[in-house]
Amino acid sequence: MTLTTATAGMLTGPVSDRLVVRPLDALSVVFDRQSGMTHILASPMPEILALMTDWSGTVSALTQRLADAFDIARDEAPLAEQLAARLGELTALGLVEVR
Amino acid sequence: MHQRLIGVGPARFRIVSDWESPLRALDALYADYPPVTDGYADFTVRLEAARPWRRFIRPSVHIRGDHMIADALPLPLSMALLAAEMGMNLQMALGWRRHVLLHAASVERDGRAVILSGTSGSGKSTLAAMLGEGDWRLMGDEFALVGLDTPDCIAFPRPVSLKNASIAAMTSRVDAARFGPLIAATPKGDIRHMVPRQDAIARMAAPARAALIIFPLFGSAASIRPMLPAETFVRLTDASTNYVALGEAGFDALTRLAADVPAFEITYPDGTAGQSLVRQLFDETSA
Repeated sequence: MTLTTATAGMLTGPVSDRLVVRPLDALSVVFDRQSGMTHILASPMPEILALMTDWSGTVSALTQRLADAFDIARDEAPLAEQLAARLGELTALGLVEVR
Repeated sequence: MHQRLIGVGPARFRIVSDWESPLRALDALYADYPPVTDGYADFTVRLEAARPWRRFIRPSVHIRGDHMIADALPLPLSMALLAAEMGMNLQMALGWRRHVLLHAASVERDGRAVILSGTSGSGKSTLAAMLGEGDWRLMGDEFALVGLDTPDCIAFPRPVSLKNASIAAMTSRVDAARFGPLIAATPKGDIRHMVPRQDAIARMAAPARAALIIFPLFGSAASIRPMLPAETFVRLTDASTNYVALGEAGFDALTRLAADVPAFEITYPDGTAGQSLVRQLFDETSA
């Protein structure tokens, strides 16, 4: 998954009863009921997934949601870069779809 | 065709063999275990001649059963007891679904279980066997069964499989009548089975709450490293033979275990040091 594909299309997050998320110390372990796979995620992946649950929209809209949720200025370059990289990883794990 | 029924903890095995001799060896090893009288078994293990004439000429044993691995090599008939034990382990590892199965030994005291998880060579079997000769109940040397809905450990006290140097370590301190025959030069080295103490077999149906998880590593100076729950979870999923098959039930059970039960990695230079580290952690975590 390249950065451009992850950031170009419409993003779709997981439906609300698909993932079981358990925080264990600094990490979160996630059971995907759809695939039967277990993932171990570090922050901010669980937070991004939580914001994307039952949600669909553009990268720009997601960046705004993140900026609002975590009180960050949305035009800060590191945020957009970080988000694109994390979205690439979540897409590769099959937890987020890009169309 | 010859056969026996054997019950260990909650599991029952039907052992079917082309030869009577391996079954007699099993009779001796399992003489203290409660007999299975209702004819029901969870798994069937078959010890079959590799070819029909191989029942008589250079007899060699194929392990077959409900669950099999494709490329298992046959063993000579002199190792048929090992084949039977391997066959029973394989059925548990691949087929058991009623509990999370961990590749781990376990011991109990005061209703609290210690899970000793490690790969072959970590020394978990020997450490558990030594503890089981002291004031602990040996719950099992190979598989720890953990409840899907409760943090209970269920005992699976099959005869302890001692390897190489561990054999002498245990024969020097345990009654000779509790040992099976020496099976020399197997693919895993020398192997000798040791029957758990009578009280451990008598109490094998009694569960114990998982209270402590230890990942032992034999061979270096004594040390203790506390483990955080996420690492414990990863190590437990690695140690489980049926985690993937259990799906969400396995995930729930192992996340609960990792979050609620204190875990440590220990290294130890010898059996005495290993036992005192287990005792120390048990006392500290029960305070």
